[in-house]
Amino acid sequence: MLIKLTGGTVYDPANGVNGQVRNLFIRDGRIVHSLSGATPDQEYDLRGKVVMAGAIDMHTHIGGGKVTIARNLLPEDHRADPEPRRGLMRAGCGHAAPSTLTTGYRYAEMGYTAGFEPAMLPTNARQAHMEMADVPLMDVGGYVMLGSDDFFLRLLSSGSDQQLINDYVAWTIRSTKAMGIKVVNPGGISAFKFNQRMLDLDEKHAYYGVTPRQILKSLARAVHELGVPHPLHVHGCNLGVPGNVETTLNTISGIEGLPMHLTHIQFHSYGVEGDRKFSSGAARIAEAINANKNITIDVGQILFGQTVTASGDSMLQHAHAGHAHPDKWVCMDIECDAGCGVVPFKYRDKNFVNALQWCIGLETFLLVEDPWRVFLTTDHPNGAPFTSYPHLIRLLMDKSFRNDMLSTINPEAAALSTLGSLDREYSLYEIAIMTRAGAARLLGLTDRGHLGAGAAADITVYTDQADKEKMFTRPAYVFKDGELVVRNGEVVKIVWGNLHTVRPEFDGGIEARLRDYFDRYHTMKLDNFIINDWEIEDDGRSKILVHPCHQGARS
Amino acid sequence: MTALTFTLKSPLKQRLDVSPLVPDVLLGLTGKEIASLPLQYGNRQVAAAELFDIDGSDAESVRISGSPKLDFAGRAMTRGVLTIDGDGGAYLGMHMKGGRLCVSGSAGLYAACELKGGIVEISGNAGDLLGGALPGNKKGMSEGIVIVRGDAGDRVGDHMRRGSILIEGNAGAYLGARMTAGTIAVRGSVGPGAGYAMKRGTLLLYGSPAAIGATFNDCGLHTLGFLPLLLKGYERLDTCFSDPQARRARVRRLAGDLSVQGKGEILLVA
Amino acid sequence: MTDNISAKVWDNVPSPFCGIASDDLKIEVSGSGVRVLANGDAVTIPGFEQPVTDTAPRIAGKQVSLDEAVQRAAAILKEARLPVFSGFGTDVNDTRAALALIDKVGGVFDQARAGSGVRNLLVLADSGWIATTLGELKNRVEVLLVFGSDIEAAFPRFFERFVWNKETLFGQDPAKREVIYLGRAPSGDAAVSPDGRRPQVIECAPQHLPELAAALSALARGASLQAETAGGVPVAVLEGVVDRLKRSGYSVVTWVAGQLDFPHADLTVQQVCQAVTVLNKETRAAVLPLGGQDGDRTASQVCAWLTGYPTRVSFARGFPEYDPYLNDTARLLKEGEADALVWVSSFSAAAPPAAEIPAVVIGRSGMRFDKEPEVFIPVGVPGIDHAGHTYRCDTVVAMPLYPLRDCGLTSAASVLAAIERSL
Repeated sequence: MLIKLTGGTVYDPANGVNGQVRNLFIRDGRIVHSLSGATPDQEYDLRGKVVMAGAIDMHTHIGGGKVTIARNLLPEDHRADPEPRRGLMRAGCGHAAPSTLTTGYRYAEMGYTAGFEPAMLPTNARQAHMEMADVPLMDVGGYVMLGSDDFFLRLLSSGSDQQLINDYVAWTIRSTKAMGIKVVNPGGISAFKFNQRMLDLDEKHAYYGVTPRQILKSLARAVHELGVPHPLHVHGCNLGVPGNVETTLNTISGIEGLPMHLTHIQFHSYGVEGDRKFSSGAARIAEAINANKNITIDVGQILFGQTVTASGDSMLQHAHAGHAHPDKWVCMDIECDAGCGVVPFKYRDKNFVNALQWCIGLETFLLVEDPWRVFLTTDHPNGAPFTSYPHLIRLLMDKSFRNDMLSTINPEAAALSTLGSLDREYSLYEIAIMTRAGAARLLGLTDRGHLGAGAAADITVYTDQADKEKMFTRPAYVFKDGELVVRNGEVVKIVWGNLHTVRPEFDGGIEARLRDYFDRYHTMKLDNFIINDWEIEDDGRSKILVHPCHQGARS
Repeated sequence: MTALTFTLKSPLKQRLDVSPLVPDVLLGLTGKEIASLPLQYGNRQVAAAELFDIDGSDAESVRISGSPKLDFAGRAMTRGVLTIDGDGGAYLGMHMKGGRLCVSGSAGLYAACELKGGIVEISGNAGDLLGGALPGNKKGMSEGIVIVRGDAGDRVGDHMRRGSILIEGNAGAYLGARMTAGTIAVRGSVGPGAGYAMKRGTLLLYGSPAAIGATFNDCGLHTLGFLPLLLKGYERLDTCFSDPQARRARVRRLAGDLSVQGKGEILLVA
Repeated sequence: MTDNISAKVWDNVPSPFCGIASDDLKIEVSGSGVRVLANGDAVTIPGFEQPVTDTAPRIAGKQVSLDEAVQRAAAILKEARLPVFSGFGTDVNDTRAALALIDKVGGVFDQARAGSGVRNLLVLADSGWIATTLGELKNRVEVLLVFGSDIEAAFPRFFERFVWNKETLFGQDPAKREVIYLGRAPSGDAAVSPDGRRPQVIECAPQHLPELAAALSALARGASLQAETAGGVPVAVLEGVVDRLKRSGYSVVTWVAGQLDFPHADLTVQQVCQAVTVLNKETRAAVLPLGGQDGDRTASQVCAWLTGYPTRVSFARGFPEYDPYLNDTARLLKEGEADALVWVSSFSAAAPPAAEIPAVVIGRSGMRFDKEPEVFIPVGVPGIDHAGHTYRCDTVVAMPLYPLRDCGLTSAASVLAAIERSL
């Protein structure tokens, strides 16, 4: 199949293309330099249209146990947003924790072609993959959670050699078919099982005696030395706790130059100034990020309305459960491996704290200078459902719209925020960096997030409009691996995405040790824990794509 | 003008959603439009006239011939009168905000579910979860009045927030379960578990209840000042609770449910 | 799992039958015969050893080709105004395939054990809980409180695998664990510790379990009750239980929802869960709702991610609608609302409910019927005849299932997909 996309205005930051009119050519699902004189089977006239690579959500809770707990927790949310069967699309439900099918349709309808589940528990990875396999139209991948699992904590607390830890990290990534490593409240999820209620960066885990700082360094080093492209993905200590900006700054300095991605940093940027002892730490955080090139962030912007927070951070979700709205929530201790907490929440624009959270996220976006190191997320669904991305993009691109919104929120919060004085407006090029090129680079996806020859033809075509929310809500065309899947914001074809993984090398000796550990302490055999290729590929829908690691190049 | 009347042509096999057959929807529609109103029947949509003989013209007063499979009668209605001649099905009067809904027979599961206003009168019996909240919802009936001339099933007023449920017959188990406010009065007997996990609100019981649970503490006999006022409010409703004699009653007051640190009360009329 | 080809003996085989997904079974296969050589129990042995009898589809008792059977099933579903799909003692893929078909024909999805699961799921949707998993239980539990249930009757290996294990991660001696049965006595000795200590048993009449749960919850909150007994149990005894839980560093409270078989048992389960939530203000405790047999957790998990609701979902209106009361198969059959029954059961050979409406049974070979269904298509068992996945009770671990033999039986998923294509 040969396709020509003619005359579109292309934003392809990975290849330095900033709004130039270009023709694009697709041969059998890949972008090529030219069709070598062949006549295209299909041609699309894209004059006046904006062309970008398909968008990549690098942090979105779309699959796994806690998402399905959130689904089961919120039948009322689903009743309010039924998705009837129509055309090619099967029935489902939407809003905060949509069904998997609806998740895929709605992402695709907004021009997203990939999403990464950031909190895949090792023992629950199989479920995460099964759910993600039922998300149509999108490529997927997951970051597997370590740092509160007892095997790692035993290695660390017993002073094991870093090489052994690296082997374990590599084995875990491979066994769970992950793209990277996530750490959530380092050691804190385990500490909560020992009845600790807080665990600051330099506080000792009651049983293991190790600190979050040690855990972070050890895991960041492992990921780096293994050559895993995506740096350690960190949900830090003290999520949501006023004053946590200090912890976050210490986390940045404490990693000593190793690559580290700080996720949903908005929730970790709170000061204690002012009468209410709650203030924005965004400026200090942005300053630290601007100064530390080893750090990347995604924001975890909150947007007003009902949602549900689903996190691996059982400790702090339990601590915040009193704010649940409606008043119901789930916490779980999971398999000497991790945990989770699912707390529904309603962000209110007239509430001081929520309004300031909204400001803090936007301040962060606007104060971090390098768009290659900041990513557009709401930490779906924790800050807001992913369907609010077009609104968020407009807030970033349209200062007068932003200031109009600012004038409607809690005035005390608005007055405390510097947001109104920030003039920056994101350009289409910068949006393309944050949501495409930067995300692909951060994850090591060499053939996604750009439109150069050889890239997979994941392409989104927008109709340029002054109202950027409208523009990003309904793309004119979306191509997934060269197939037209969305036209005018409506799904016209169902395809199934790929699973992105990495396969770092490890010394096989670790497996003997793990086999014994599984037999003695776990509730399943090691061989049944490891996820096999047939489990992903046998139904003929998803393909496993393996991205290279650059082991040795970095150590 | 005679009531706009829908008479079932034959017994229903599947459940039928009659929620469009309310004054709010029917007012202003032509006869032809009414005849072609699509109703969800099993997994098909069927025109109203295929299922019903339709007579009369006064859409402020709608009558439907009853069936225990007639669901969502009066859903979200805000005005007028809806009469079910015979039995109603499940979710009768769900989300209703105003007007009057009368059932000459009995109602099924979840009658007056999450009622927001108006009057629901059931001449026969009511099924389980009368005035309750749908699964996942924390707010059952939040306003309005429900009258049951016969018996009510289990779990009357689950998560009830406000309003009154008056039962002239008996009530089943878990009366007022998890209620957070409002009043439920029962003339007849009451099954086990009355007030189970109730946080606030009042159960006013005239008949002898099955044993009250251990998580209610007995606060003794009282002449409660608010009771005559409460009962006076029911005067115009023509129920057994309108009897002026009843207002002078002394009550034994039980407080609970302590399992939820509740401040609700079960009043046993002496 | 490893394969000893010459003897056709498989080690470390996961069980799709037992709800706790034991994966240490030793299984011998010869021809279509299966024998559990080691680590079987009263649930898994009959599950694995059920002989293959039928391999050919039937229409009204008469042997037909698979294609004819599929066409007949599709014809029934095309006509149906409310087809109900139930059974679902099966794996993830079969459930997925069924939901695709149900969506297309506007049917109802139910599960044979949903009535039990709903007792937990209604609590999850109303107040949530603090839960734990089998692995945490195995390594952490100090006090195990069993509420109103006889665990070993349903989960014969529960204590052996997760309570009386030899060692734990944190140096605790599992043999010193305490077990308290509240509301019901165990039927056997599985809860007796290796050193011979019997569990504390506090019995009450089954109808008093709701009151007992409420009292437990009240006492956990520190309420002072006037009553001297709750459900016939002295309040002082219950106070002792609460005190023991409060002094424990990690207690687990468990029950078998299928055994809390009385109306509105969700209210009782909720009280138990809330007692545990309150305990967590000071110490750590968690609930562990047991279940997972005959695919009940698998069905609710897959249904939840594909529709947003755990089970008893109707697609009659074109989108999923959850109704744990009206979408109950037994009720739909009794009231004559369902006009076709599709029974999918690859794990259990137990017969579907007899119904006067056309029935399509996609079931385990060996199923016997009181009334021959219109269509019967025997299928293989995930974990014996083909690969698959099953959820165990804690819904965290989805266990992979492997093919052990090949006797020509197709999978329910492929049958369901074929029916969908034939519509």
